[in-house]
Amino acid sequence: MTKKHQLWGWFFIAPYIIGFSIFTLSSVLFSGYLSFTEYNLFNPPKWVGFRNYINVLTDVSLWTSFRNVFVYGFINEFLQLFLGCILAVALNRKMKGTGIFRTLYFLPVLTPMVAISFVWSYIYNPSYGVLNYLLSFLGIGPFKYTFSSNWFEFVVGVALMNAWKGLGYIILYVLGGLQNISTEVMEAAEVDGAGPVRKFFSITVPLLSPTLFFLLVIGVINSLQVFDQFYIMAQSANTGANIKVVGTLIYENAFVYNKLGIGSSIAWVSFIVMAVLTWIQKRMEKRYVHYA
Amino acid sequence: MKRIFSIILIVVMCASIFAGCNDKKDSDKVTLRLGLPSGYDITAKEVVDNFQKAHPEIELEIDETPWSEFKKKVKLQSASKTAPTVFIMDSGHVAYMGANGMAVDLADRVKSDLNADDYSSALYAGQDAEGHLWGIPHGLNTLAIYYNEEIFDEAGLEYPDESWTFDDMIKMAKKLTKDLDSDGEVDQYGLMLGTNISTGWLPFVLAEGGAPLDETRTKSMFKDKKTVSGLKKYVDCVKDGIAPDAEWSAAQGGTAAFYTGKIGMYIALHSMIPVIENNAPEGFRYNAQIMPYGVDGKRPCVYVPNLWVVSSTATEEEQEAAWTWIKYYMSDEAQKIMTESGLDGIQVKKTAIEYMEQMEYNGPENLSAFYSGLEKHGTTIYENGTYEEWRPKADEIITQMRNGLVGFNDGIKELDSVVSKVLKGEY
Repeated sequence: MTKKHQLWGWFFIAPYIIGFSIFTLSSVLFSGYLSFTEYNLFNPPKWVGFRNYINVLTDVSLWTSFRNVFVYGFINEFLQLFLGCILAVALNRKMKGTGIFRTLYFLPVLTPMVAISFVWSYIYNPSYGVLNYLLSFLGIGPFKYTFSSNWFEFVVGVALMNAWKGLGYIILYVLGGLQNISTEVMEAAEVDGAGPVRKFFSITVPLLSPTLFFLLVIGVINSLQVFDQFYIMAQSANTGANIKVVGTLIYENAFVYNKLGIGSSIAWVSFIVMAVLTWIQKRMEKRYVHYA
Repeated sequence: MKRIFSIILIVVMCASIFAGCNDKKDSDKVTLRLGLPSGYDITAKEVVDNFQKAHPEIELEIDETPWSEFKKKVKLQSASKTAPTVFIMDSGHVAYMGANGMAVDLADRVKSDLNADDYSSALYAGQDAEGHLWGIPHGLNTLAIYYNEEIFDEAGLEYPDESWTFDDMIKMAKKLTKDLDSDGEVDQYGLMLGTNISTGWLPFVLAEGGAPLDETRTKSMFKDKKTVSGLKKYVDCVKDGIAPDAEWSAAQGGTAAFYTGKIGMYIALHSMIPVIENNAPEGFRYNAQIMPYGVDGKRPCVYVPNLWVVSSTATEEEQEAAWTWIKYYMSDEAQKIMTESGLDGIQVKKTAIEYMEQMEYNGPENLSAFYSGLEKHGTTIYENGTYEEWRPKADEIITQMRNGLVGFNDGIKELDSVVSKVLKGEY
């Protein structure tokens, strides 16, 4: 590539690089600085060294938040990837009405999380929510869902809601992955006598593994960043349960208690955890992901 | 063609530049930026218009934002030194603003320009332990007990009168708690308690003679015997089944449970009146009674004030204009308009309270329940510079104690430790 070509390349990506540097990178670096200070917006930051990190890492609320995030992330990712694969395989078949189903599954993805969280708070309401009403016909329930004072029930309730909302996104990616699988490979497997289940596990899943790996990495990062649904649904159900996640902990410290130093240090701890998890996933990639 | 187009463009640009020059404000006037959360839904427009007529030398600029966003906006404006000159803020945040140099101390101005005898003692609701006055009341959201007359009639109980005590209230609540369909679960509770400080645990603590903080508001009193006793009574209301747990309350909605006939008595603020009036089924019969006496003859008449705050970033001239506005707001005329409008609860001027006694009002018959105890028993919610941190943390632990997620004694220890840490400025 000539120097002139390189310059043109830089010229074209410059608007993004400039915007990213001003609005994102500078904020990230500034938050790194703030994490070592005591700062409340109104008075100048005061350098406190590692005090914020020591306080945050020795406080139980951070670990409770990580517990909630990991449980939420595990249930959410498992449901989304498992159901997403099954539904994508079903929707990949040539039959009437698949377009309608694909649209229907994708609709919740387009709906804002805030609106969905409010609606699901109503659905989950143990007294007048439609879910308990429907389950009562089967003789099941009533359940308290997110209105429970038990943290696990709350986290599972939010994870189920999120799995439903994000399913369309997963299906879209898996469908793309499925359509990249050569029909010749499938036909060869059929000739060798492989049934649908064998084909799914021995051909479809391995060839989908790059897509699934990408979705898993992004999903884990998204789970660690979860905020809206927990913030809104926790307000609906003020039961005293320990239902904070890392995102709500950062928000609370930085913007409610005006402790931007503490909020920034939690954010950086969260970033380090995300980086470590992504590194572990990358290490596993070599073993479990098959690039055709 | 190109040349003509260029000439037109230059003319338009020049015209807009000169138009901008003409848009100069009258240099004799002081601009007063008035921060109104929810605009005229909280402050009567008539008050603003009348002030503008009476003070043509001051040009009012209204900075209006919905309540939910207002605090965040003012916080950021204060940080960037662009806050409105005078604005309304909840007392918890005012204490924080005062402690961080963002509000002007109004103590001297009140002393020289207002006659304290004309006002209820709540005039000093924005005062901190050192005597600084960070805000002047815009309105007081006062506490009383709403009761469902039908439920009392069905139980054959007399309605509560002014002489009642906390013990009477608990006895009544026991009688009003019922399993109506005999399925082993309570359908009608005697008492509804909030999970927060003002409508939840603080009235119980005060009724026992306790307090969450000491007089300087720098030391936790959660281990104090009287405070512990109040918290025990509060938690026991749920444990004994006369008040619903937080799960039930969250699912039913506090006020909705009251006006749908599932609650006998409801400890709630004045601001619930329009909610009940607008949503209760036709024919719903309810009234309100003043907070009952606690031990040592003191009623826990808690109130949550909204305060007028003058920004410390305002110039001397702007601060003077802001004080002119506050003085007008505290006048008989403005206080009467605000009382008549029913916006933002009870006003602090005695003439406004007298006026309230005579005026027709859409609400419980005994409206005096919300203001008659103010002078003698009125108390705020222990705001200080760290209120916005220790209060939600305390609420959370007390809710966990109430729901049995934490044992009572362990909860008290945790409560004292967490609040002490916040008060000392530790994480």
